[in-house]
Amino acid sequence: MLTSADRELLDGLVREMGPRLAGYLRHSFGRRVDVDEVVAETFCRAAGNIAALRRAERKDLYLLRVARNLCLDSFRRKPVELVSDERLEAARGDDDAPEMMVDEERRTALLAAVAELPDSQREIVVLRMSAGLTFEEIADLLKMPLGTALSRMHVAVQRLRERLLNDEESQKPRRAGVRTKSV
Amino acid sequence: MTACERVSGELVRVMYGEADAASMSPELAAHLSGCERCAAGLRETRGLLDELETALRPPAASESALRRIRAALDSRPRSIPIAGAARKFAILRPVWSMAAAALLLLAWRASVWPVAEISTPAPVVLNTAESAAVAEALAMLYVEDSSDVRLEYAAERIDSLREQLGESGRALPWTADDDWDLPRPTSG
Repeated sequence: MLTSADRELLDGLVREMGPRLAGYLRHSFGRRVDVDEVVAETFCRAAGNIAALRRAERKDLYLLRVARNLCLDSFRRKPVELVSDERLEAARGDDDAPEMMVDEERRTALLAAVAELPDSQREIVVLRMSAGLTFEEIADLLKMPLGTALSRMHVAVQRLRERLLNDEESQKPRRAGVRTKSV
Repeated sequence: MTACERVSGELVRVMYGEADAASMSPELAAHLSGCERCAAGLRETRGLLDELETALRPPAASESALRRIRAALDSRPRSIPIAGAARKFAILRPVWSMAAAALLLLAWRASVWPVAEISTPAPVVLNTAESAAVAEALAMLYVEDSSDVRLEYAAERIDSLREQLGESGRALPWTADDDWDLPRPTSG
């Protein structure tokens, strides 16, 4: 039975952690999970084990761990079912595009490049840049040495750099061609 | 080993904010002032990290999303009911039933060892749905990457099953507090 203090705790966490969990799940697992469903289930599990949530020193890490385990469990139990494009778009519809990103084309290219990273690298990038965890926290969450988390991040970021550079290079002649034709 | 390789460890820590750029070693500072390749790498990586942070930044909580989560919290059961667990494992039911029976037998055998201390517990008879639920809880204890959360959840399930079966006079021969690596013999 939840007390009013528990409800208050959960309400605060829903507001603070809901978007962070959704961002982590969306960028880490993409179309393999129904993000809204997993976020809701994460809070239900937390409510179901409210004593453990109360005890957790870092409630954000606790919730991220629950959400991650839910996804890994679902991958183990059934073949991956991709979320349909309609549901994905509907879920994205809740996002307000970040105002600071001036170049939308660049942002799209960056997100596409992140989505193409190997799972083990992408999750670290997302935990660091979206969930805002330190490398120590990431290493603890993913049960790996700190050095491994750091080196996977480095490999991932260098891959992203190369990929974006290649994209820019491949677009140069095309753009030049378009200009030539239009003259 | 090249000069670049010698400083690469510290350079990576500085790049990702694990080491404070203001207090980098004199060796790295000198290297960066003389090696345009490493200096550009640091500059470009930091620029890309800023972009990544912006691109991946979670949006502010939308009221509709918050409402959905709160509605789920109000309407859903706090844990998977046995019927739900049985449905989920329906395809594997025969396998789970056999696994549950085998594990129960092992747990019972371990609990009455040594023979001299036997106090024969009543056999525990489970129906298919119950054995699926027991097997699910036990399976959670034995997965390779069992986390604290998963173990706590499994313990909660076991306690709940013990309570539920206890109501019909069927006592499981173990509890969530047992040492699962080495089941303890019963004391009498």
